[in-house]
Amino acid sequence: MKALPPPAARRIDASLDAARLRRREREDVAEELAAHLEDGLESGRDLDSLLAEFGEPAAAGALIGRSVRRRRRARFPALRAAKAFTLAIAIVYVGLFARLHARAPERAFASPSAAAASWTAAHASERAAFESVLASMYTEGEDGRLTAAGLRAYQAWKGKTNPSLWSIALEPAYFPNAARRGEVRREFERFLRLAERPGPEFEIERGALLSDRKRALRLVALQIPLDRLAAARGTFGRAASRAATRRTP
Amino acid sequence: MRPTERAERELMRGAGPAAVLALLDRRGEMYGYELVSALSAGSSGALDMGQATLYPMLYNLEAKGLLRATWRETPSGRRRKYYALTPKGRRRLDDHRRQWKAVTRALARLGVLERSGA
Repeated sequence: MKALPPPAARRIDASLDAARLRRREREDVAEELAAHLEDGLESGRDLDSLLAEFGEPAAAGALIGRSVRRRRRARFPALRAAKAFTLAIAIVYVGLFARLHARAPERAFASPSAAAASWTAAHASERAAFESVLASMYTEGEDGRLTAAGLRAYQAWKGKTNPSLWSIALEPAYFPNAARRGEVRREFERFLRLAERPGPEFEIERGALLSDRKRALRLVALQIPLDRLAAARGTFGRAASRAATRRTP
Repeated sequence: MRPTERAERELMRGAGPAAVLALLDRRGEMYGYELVSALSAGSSGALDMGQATLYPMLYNLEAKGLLRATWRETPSGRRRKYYALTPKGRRRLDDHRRQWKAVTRALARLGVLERSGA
C-alpha cells in the first residue's frame, strides 16, 4: 500500500473508515484493495479510471463492512453460538435480578404472634386428623385398645394393601404391647409441642422413636401424624427461613 | 441491449456470482483484478463491476463456503489474494447453470431475447 499514489491510499482509508472493521480485518481488506489498484496500474490503466470504478467511499465501505462481518460470523460458528449462549444467560440473569429486586421486601409472617397463630391453626388441623386416625385404630375411651381393623388401616396408610402371610402371622405380636389410646394421644401432644420449636428436638425425638423398634411398634399409630408433622415442619421451616432472609434491616 | 451496456443492479445480483463461480471453475484460481478484467472482457462490458461490488460479492461467497481465499506472493514480491472454488461452490455453480438455462429458455419463448430490429 506504500507504493500506491496518495489519492488511492486515501480512497481506501476513507472506504475502510466507513466499513467499521476490526483491525486485522481492516488490514486484510486494505491490502487486497491496494493490490487490486496496483494490478490495475501495472496493466496500464490510469489511476482516475480505477478510482472511478471504486465508487463512493461511504457506499463502498458499507458494502464491504457488511460482507466482512458476514464472513466473520461464518468463519467462527462456535464463537457465534457462545456469544448467543452468553447473551441468553445474561438476559435470564437480568430478568431474575429485576424480579428479585423489583418487589418490596415481604415477610412470610407479619409478626411472631401471627406465626404462632398459624401454628395453632396447624395444630388444630393435626389434632383433628389424628383423632380420626385414633378412632379408626382404637376402641373408644382413653383406655381404648388397638384393633385388628386399626392395624389394617395403618398398613393401608403404609401402602401395604396386601400383607404377606408372614406379616399376618406376626400381627398378634402388635396387640399385647400396643399402647392405649390415651398414651398415644399424650405422646402425640408432646411431639406437637416439639414440632412447634425451631430447634432440632422434634427430629431427634422422632428419630429416637423410629429407631427404637419396640417403642415404635408400641406407639404404631404415631407414625402417621409424625410423618405429617415432619412434612409440615419442612414447610414452616422454609417459610420462616424466607421471612428471615427478606426481612429489612 | 447494447453489448457494452452494464447489467442493471438486480440482474447483476443474480448474474454476478454465477459468472464469478463459472470463471473460477474454468481457470482454477484468480485474484480480484483478474476476475474484474475477465468478467468485463468475457461479457463485453455487461458484467463490469468495481471493487465496491466485486469484493463484497467475493466475501459473501466465501462466507457461504463457496470460495476459498489464499494469500500468495507474486514473482514481483507483492502479495495477492487468490480465490478458488470449493466443492460446495462447484455444486452451487451446477445449480446456477440449471436455473440460468431455464430462465434463458423461458425468456426466449417470451421473446425477450429476440433482437428488437428482427
